[in-house]
Amino acid sequence: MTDILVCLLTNLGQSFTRRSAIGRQRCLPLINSKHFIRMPITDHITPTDLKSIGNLSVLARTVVEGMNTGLHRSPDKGASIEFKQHRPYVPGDDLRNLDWKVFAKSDRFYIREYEQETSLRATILLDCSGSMRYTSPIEASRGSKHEYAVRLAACLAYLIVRQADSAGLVTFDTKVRNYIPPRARPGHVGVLLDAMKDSAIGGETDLGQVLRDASAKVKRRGLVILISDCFTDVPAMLRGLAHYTHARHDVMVFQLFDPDELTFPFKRWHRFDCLEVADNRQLIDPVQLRKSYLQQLEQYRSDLRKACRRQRVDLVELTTDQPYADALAAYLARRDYLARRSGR
Amino acid sequence: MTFLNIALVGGVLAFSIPLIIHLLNKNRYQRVDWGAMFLLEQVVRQNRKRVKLEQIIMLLVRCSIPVLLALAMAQPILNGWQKLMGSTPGSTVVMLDSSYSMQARDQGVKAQSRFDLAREQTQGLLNALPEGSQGQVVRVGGGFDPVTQTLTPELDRVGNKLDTIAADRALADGPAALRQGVANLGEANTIKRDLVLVSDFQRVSWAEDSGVKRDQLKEMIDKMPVRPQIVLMPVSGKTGRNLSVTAVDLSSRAVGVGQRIRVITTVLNTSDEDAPDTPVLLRVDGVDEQTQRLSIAAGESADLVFFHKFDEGGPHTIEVALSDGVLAADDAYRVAVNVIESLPVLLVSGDRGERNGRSGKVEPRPFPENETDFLEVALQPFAASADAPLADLIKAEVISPNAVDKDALEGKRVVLLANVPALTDKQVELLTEFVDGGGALLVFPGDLVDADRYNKQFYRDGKGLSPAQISELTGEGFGFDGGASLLDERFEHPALALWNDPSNGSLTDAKFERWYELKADDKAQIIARLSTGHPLLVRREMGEGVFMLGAVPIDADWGNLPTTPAYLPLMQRLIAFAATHAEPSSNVMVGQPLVALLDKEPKGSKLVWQTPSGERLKRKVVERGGRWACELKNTDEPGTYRLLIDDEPARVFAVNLPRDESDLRRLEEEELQELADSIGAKIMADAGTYAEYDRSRRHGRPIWQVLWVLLLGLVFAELLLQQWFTRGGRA
Repeated sequence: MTDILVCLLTNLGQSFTRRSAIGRQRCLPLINSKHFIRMPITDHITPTDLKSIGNLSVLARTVVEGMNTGLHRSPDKGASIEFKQHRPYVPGDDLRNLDWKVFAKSDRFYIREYEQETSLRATILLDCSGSMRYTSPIEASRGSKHEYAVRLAACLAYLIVRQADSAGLVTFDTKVRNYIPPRARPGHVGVLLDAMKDSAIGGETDLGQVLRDASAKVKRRGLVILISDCFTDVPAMLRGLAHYTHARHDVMVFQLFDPDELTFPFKRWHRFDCLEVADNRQLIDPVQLRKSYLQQLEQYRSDLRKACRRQRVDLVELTTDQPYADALAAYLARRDYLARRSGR
Repeated sequence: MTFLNIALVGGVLAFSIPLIIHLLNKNRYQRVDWGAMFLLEQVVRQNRKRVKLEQIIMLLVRCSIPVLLALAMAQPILNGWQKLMGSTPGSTVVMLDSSYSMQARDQGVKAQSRFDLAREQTQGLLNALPEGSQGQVVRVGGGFDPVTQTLTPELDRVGNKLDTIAADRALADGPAALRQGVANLGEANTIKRDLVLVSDFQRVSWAEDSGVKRDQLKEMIDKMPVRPQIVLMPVSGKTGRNLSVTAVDLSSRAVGVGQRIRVITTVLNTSDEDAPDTPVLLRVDGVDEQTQRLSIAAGESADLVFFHKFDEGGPHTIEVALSDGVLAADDAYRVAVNVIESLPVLLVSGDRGERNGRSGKVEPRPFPENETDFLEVALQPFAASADAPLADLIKAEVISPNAVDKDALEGKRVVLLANVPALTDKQVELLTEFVDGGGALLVFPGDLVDADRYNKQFYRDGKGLSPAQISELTGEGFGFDGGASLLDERFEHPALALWNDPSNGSLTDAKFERWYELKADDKAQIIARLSTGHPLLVRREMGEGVFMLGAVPIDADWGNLPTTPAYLPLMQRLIAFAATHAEPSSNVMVGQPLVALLDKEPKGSKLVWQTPSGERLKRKVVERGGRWACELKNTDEPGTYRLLIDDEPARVFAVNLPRDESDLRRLEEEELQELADSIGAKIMADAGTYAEYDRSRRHGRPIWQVLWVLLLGLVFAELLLQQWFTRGGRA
């Protein structure tokens, strides 16, 4: 597998000519935009394959470099290395920006203006609650939702920093466990990845409360990315997210499901032991309850989608057998939207 | 409620199987660590009652399936739930007496025989059965022959078959018929079961009847899940006089051309009236030959002797018939005879005379000093007289021991060694093959015999031809005074059985001064003994042939046997029986197999047997001991059977009925009533009485059909419910 990855990485520029139907559909907004996205490497490699890469750094680079990210030119003008224009001095302007050479030639005061690259501050909120530990007994090779979340967060962090944006991390379960403020230094990715790697799965979480607590740490306006299964009370969670939206943060929620949670494929009698609360168990014949469960699940997802829409929260539903590129594409689409909004 | 298969009721315990499976499944669950518990908890909470109810319903349905299956297979009948009178379908087995006594025409009903009446009543019974009933008719006589193999609802078909059957069977065993009928009813699947015995209830048919057998029958009936109703339907009336030819014996087993044989006939009067001046006819090959008149007292039998001489060899039939007109089946008795042209016998004489010193030729001594002189005369008594009215059957050829070779044995059926000193090993080997192939070897030792060599060549420590070892020479002059005579006893061997009747003379006149002591082994059959207890003549069957060994010579050297009157018939019979012992009997009783042995292989692999009614049956030919055998096992029909063999004249065989059925006396009314009472049976005169009785009966209602339908419904319900429940019911 490592050989395949190396080969693919070496030939990134030439080999991405094919495109899967799903990948094409998901990346369509990006393709049509001015930022052309090449074929992601994850179209060739499944999350299960990537799971074999133990090093998060390699994994993130493998995934992210599979995508040719675009540049995000800032419309804001300020101090930078790239000159844009002169304008007449008005009282109150910083005298450091006066172009003395022009004054010497024309005896008029002009201010030099430079074009400045924006810096997006993205904070990744990584859910480490007990429910993220779920691993399918039917297809254990898929790994747990937490493993998928960590890899996804690593890819996102790498992508963000690579784009010269700032990336921070908050890990939480019952409470905020770790906070790393956003930085744009390339070496910061290593710090983030180490923190993700060391994140341990905890117990029951009150997502609303934790989000509220974490919001105090995320002060400057930016992009908040929540990676969680969101298995909690929807209104409470939305109340937690409201703290971010009120602070004018852009919020993205990557909701993770294991395929088992969406299909409930169990047949014989099963005892379902709760991953978060000990002694909470249900002995049932799953066949008898499948339909009810699926209806209940659909109701929950529908509620969550509606609530997110109301709060202008970008909700991306993912399953653990889905390529990471889908999540990255969603992020880039959001990033692109933010860039264009800023440009207006 | 009654169950026809009560044992299967225990199957209801199988209801526990689905329950056990459910509990096992519930206990052998799989554990899953589940994240979306908040969803599952809600679902369980909302559906708890529904799930429980569904589980109970499914369990009930699944437990009911084995219970219903067991009950349906146990075939329950609701006794209290009765159908309208007479409309209950039932199962009826009619045991129809088809013994030949049913041919009798009783006084007052001359137009119809008993069997005609029985058939009429049987037809009436079948017609009287309610719609949906099942019936079976079984012919009784010399065993059981079902007209249809099982109970069938096609009563018309059974009725039609009745027209094709006749009363030509042997003895009908009454108690056995009832047992067989009850057993047949065990296969019925109706609550109403009737067993009707239509018979003339001859006394002889119930001769084997006893209290013990009746108790057994009653016990058998009581053990049945549904007690059958037994009906006895007598069809006989008062009969007149009946005479029967019970046996026909021939004076000789081997009958030759030109020989006068005696046909000894026994006629029995089974009635209570004397039969004076009754004509008895001898018919040979279908041609009336002689008629004699005979008077027979009531209940007595009388013998009659016909004399006949065959002018041509080959198969012939002799039939002795009378014409009393009551029972055609016992009025005639047939015997098949294979008349042979001659019976070639080879006599090997150990002492034919004295060798001439000059010429080297053997010159015979004057009669009767040679070893086989007496025997030649005994076997060919008419040979010396040119104008003898009768011919000799046996053609004897006398040779010296050194002339015994393959050519000498060719065509011979009997070889007799008379005081032969010794034989070469090759000659012994030839004689062994001769016996194996069906020939007869008779050895009579004498003073010239080398006993040790005989024992080595013929006895071979029990592995040879001889069944006895020639031991010490005993008698006068050998430590034994007074000699010995032939022991007067009842002879089992047919050749000597003639002398069981004192009127035929006695063998005890024969005295012996000297004899060899024969040490017979287990395989030996001792035909005759000396008064000292020593065996005089022993025999043993070897392969297809026979070996006989005597203790004395065949001439008058050691005794006076050749000079007694019994010598001639004794030797004639011994030789005749030895020559024909390998031939299976051409005369058998009904039911016994017929076997024909052929000297050469026929052209085809099968031969055709022609039955008395003209039916032609092909049967396979198999090799047996160097000869070829063809067997016909099914001889239910009395009469003359023929075996057609390529270009040869057809062989004939006679099959006769046992004469038990000739005694037409029936059970008295009281005896019949006592029989009926002892087994809980009813006596009914005719089918009409039975129909009236049937209409007056009420029966329980079988409900297993309903149970099968319910079971089918439950199986479908289980499938549908499972589908419905697994789709989730309400959310």
